[in-house]
Amino acid sequence: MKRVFVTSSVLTLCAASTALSQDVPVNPLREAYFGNLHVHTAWSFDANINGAISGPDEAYRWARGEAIPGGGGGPDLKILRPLDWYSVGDHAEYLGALPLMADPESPVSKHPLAAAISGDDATASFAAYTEILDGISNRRNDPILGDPVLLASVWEKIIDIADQHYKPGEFTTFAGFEWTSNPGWRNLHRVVIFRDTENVSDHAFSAIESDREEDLWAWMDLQRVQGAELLAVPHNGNASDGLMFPIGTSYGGSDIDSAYAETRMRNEPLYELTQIKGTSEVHPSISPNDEFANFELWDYTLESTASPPEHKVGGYMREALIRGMALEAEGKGNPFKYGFIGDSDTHNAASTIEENNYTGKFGFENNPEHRLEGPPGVSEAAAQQVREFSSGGLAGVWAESNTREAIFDAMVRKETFATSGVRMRVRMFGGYDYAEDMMESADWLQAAYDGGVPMGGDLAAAPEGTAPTFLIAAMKEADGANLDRIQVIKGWVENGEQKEQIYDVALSGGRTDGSEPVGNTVDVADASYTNDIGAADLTAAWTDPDFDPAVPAVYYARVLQIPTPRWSTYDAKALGVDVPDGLPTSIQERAWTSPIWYAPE
Amino acid sequence: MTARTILSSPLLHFFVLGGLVFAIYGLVNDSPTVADPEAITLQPAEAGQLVARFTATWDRPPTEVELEGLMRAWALEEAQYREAVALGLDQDDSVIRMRLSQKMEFISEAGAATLEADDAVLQAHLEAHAERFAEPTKLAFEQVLLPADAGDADAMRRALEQGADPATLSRGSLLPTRLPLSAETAIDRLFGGGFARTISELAGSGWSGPVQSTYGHHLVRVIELRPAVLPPLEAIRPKVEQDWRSTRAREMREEFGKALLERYDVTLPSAGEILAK
Repeated sequence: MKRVFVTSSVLTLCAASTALSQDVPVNPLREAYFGNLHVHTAWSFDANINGAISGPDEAYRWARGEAIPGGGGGPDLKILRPLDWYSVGDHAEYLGALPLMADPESPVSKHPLAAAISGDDATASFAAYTEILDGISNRRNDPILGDPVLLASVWEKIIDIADQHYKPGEFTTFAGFEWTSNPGWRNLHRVVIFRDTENVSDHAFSAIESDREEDLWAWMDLQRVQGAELLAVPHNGNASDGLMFPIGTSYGGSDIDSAYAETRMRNEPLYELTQIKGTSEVHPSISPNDEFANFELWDYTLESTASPPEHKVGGYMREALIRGMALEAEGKGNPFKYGFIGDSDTHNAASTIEENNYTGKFGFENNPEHRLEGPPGVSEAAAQQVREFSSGGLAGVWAESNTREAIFDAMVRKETFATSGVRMRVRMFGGYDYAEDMMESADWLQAAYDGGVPMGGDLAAAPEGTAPTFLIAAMKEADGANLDRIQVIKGWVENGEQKEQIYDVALSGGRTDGSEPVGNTVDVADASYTNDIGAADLTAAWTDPDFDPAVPAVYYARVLQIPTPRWSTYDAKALGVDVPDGLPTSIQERAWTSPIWYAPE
Repeated sequence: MTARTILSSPLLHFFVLGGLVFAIYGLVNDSPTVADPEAITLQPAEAGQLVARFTATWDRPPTEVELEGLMRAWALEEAQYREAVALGLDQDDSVIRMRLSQKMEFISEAGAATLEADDAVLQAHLEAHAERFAEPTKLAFEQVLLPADAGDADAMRRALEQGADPATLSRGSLLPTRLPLSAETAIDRLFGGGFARTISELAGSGWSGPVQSTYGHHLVRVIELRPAVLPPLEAIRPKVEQDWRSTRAREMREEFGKALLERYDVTLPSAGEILAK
């Protein structure tokens, strides 16, 4: 376990960064940089309890390709292909305090729960975990774990470690934390990151200070007044029981009006669409006509009883995107105008996004048996939750360079996309006078920027008699699986009613009818697939055939891969057992672009 | 002498070992510091900390009503805290064992934080772990993605040699037609494994190819090839020092564990016999 904190010369490092930034390659047409900002290490209370042994320093080493200790009695963790950027976001609640329980110099070691937490007795650990989580949920601060001086010093160390690993142009890091509000086990969590480390808060705002999102935003606004630039990314609406995208009144008691919408959008431009605890783009019960809606769902609240949430509406992004436009039409502003990213939520320092290199969410899953049959000491219901974990997603960011500033600014303008973990790339632009054949030329990107808006943007009012054209290009991950199709998902509001329609705009293999599936080459017993089907890249210049200039609409693209083995299929092969009942043997990994919005004046 | 310096002396570890274990054990198991459970008193200084905490968060002091609320919450916390101690969750021996073992682990590597290294040590570390510090081979190049049927690659190459703009010849894709100086690994992540190595052999030969990537066939012109280099120590001293220190921490932990075991006559049964039972 890493407990040695090195306060290196920050001044020296800053000077080195400045010198380096002059050599940073810049592409004005932007490159896709892949990374994660939702990464927990042994410094998060729940990660520590559940077997993580690697801290923030090891997390960054992992993202750059080094092997790090994986805990759980399992092997070291090593990514197959390194990431472009990474940001540790440990829970602000008792930040870093649990590893200090083992530090005799620290007052935390005198905590009555320290013994249970540091132990390898699963039952005692779970009991302690529940007790601490319960304290957080009920906003009781623990006097030792939550000591403000301690938290501030751990926060400083987290910032130092992020600085030590930042290499402009090659590898970007951010200072960040997670605000972990879960009233009644309903997930309202947000990860917060800062644009730079020169202007950051003096501590990480925790849900113990307040579990109302309005108070988090007020605190963020205060940091802005003091010179910081920061943003929050909410996640796991699927586990919020409808609280994430509230209807009528927020959990914090606000009316959903234009003031609420403005504050929310000023603070959180992006939503995390997919991660280990499932995908919250869409639920089949809300969008029954979406044949691809049933993808890596995780239909639980955070309650230890493994109960499904009663309210699906208010927990899934697509419905909220469209409802936001309805609210705007009523003059209440649009509080759900989100761009998309995918992310991890690993609690073991390594985001393990690679399906064939999945090592689980918690340290105790660092063993294929514990992933398929359940970690020792947990109930069958909890074991099923572990089997249903997804391998986690990735955030793709179209930025001019691999630097903090460029990546953060791309997030603010929502020029981002989510993937279910694969490194496929996708771009979308919307405009009114794009030529049908312009994507055939290699310089189409400049023309696309000049004549319209990239994903995350707003289309201006349509010129008389025209409909918007969307340019969409997708490329498979290098050395990855081929693509099945590109879809455009359109949502709009008609006479107060929320509507959605899915268009297949590019199909591989010469198909003209999207109801014809791409096929499936997965050999389950061998946990393998072939690229005999699908396409390496797909493009579409698609004009909305049903466009009504008087009706507000939102458009985003979804790109599907051909089927490939799910992580559980790889594990079953490694163990020589059958894939457990109820799990899909193959999945269609995918990417989602941030939306483009059309609103008539 | 500070606690850190004491802890950094490996020799002292052995002398204090026994005593420390019992001292920590005492802290865990007895609760002599818990005051009369009937009395909960918030000292003015501690109340001041509540005010400071609130002020740090909200950039203003709390109002009287807010402070009264904070203090009431503090009293409730204190009562709950004492009850938690009284519950005796710390009495489970197997867990305490594990916790004390972790404390020992911490002590064994705590000294690394204060270690100083001279240039010779760091230079040796740099050379021993060159792969961690080397700047990788980097390439800058232009590329044209040929049509799916490969087209007339020779004609296209001639046009490029005569100064045609690659952007007007390449088929549309998300691949950049011109890539600035980038590491081989970054190029492979974009074009597929082995691509950087293949095109690095084309440096100096103008427009070349077709070269195959995971997406199709390309004509390529390498603009610059910068071979891998190990930077001198003075250019990356903080990085080397940090890496050396964390390596030392790991080594100290392992050495300590080994030395610790040597102090005991360890007898373990045969694994085969146990499993056979």
